[in-house]
Amino acid sequence: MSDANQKFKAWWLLSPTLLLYSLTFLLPVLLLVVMSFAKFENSVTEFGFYLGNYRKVFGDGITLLIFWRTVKLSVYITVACVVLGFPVAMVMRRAGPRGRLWLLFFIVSPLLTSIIVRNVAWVLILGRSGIINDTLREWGLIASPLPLMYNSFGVVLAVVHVYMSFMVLPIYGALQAINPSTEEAAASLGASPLRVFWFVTLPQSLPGLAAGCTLVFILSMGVYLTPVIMGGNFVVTLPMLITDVVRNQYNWPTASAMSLMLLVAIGAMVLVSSVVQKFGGRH
Amino acid sequence: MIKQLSISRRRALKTTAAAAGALATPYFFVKAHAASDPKVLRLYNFDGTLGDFYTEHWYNPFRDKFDMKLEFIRLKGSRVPLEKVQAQIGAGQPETDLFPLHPDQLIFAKRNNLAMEIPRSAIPEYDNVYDEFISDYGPCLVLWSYGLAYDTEAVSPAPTSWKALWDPAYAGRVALNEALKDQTLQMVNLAFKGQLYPVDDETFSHLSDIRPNLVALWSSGADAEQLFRNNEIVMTPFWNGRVTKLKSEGLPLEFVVPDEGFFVRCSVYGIPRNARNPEMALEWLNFVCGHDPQKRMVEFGYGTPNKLVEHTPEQAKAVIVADPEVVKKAVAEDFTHILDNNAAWTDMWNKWKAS
Repeated sequence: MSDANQKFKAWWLLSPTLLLYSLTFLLPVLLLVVMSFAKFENSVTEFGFYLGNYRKVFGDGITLLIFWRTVKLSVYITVACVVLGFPVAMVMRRAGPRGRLWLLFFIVSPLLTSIIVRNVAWVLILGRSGIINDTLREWGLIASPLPLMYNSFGVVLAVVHVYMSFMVLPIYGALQAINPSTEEAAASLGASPLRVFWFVTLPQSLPGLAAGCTLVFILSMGVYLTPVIMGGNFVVTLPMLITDVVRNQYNWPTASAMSLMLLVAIGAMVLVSSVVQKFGGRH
Repeated sequence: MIKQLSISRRRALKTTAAAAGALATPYFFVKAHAASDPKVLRLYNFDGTLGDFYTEHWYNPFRDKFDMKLEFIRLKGSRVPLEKVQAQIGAGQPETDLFPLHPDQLIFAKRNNLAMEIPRSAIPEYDNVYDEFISDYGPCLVLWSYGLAYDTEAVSPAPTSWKALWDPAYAGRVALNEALKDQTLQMVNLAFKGQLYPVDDETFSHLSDIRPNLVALWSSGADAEQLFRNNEIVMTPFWNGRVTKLKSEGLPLEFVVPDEGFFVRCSVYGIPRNARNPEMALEWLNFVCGHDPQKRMVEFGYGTPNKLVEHTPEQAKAVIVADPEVVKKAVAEDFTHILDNNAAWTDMWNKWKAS
């Protein structure tokens, strides 16, 4: 079969997906771009080429601050997922089939629960009269309840709980692909377990780690409901701000400019991740 | 001997596509038919017990009387997602035939030509409705009284002022309303300046003073209810209807109208432009303006625009706006000012939260 024929066949196979993404992603993004240059005045939207929305986003002194706080929150969540998720992935790799299945179920189970139920459960655990505070008070360890929720701690905890699987599974996949003889060789040459992990296991699992970080970071940048419930509205993320601008001000143009900023940031993250994965793959 | 069936890949794909099309056609036909069916009325319904009340006393009796089919979209809270409805109206397909509009939403709807004008003659029951509850776009049907809700076991003496929210005795036990932050900002002004406007740095300095008392900023009435149920808070600005509901659950709560004044807002029920069934929507508006549905509303604890409905003393106390002496304390909000300053206030609000 000729090259041209093969290329044609490849495009033909891709066409349903391309069509779907064009309609559900590219077209809406295009509309978002057009809307971001519209003017919103006196509650009425007028289309045109108006830069005021971007001036507001970059110059109002609050949108950028909230954007950076969203990035910071996403970094916290990603780091927490790495710290807690890497050991789990390593245990999964060494566990037997039954143990692996249990761990997998344990990690994936938050995704099977409704987001509202999950967050209400957290309220029952972390709240002022929740299990933790009540127990600590009964034991006489604290006099007044600890502030475990309605702050960044509560948000990070609740988000890590559900996004952990997006970190563990790619790392586990990468770990499974490592040839154990490379680690055994390093150990037989006198490397301590820590050195084996640091110089053999970790570098080879880098593509999985990068994929996990990318997934968790991107999902965290878009997280909305959990900060609302667990952060008591004090932890403001950019999606919360965008929702407020649309829902309470009906200002689609400014919200579009904010959304594009978020999209560009996520695009940049994907780019960085692909570079890291390429580097990791070569290594 | 069984003949082996052979079928080409292309033919298999074609057959599958044709079968899917054949199976899907009746579905789309039924959907399209339902969309234009004069016997189908689409409505938004509130969440919580108010939604349940509407279903029982406003929707089902209407459905039975007119032999209609009603389709509901349940709201989270009381605000219609007008930003979405605006896009639907622009596309010629609003998802409902009626929508409740908060006062600021009504102004937005007027400016963007989202609602149909309804002449008085179109609703005969208007004869029994107070004039101030009739707008060009429909009747004001839901009266929201917004005062101070408090836990009677934890807050003593009973608060008489909004300033009770600032009392250091309630550190970490108070919440404010994020969903209607304009109302929160006006409340702060009312408490400390004796007037609703302007919202300025002084307003936010008072908000900073309340910070040690705040445990959360709630974003819907259901969230605030949960804060009371979980014993997270003892006091918050709240709606009377929600307090009545929590009291019925056995919570030791009370609703008080502060001395400085309180807020009464009214939601207009309008018909979106391009609605599919405006005739039945008008019929429904006429039906709910009538005596029986409005009498049920009073029994449930909400005020009524219907002149013919009388209150027992207990009902008057629960309804809040039935007592003329209490009504005098209602402050007059400027909803155009609120809508036009919402963006600036939100920026200040977010800066305050981030500080």
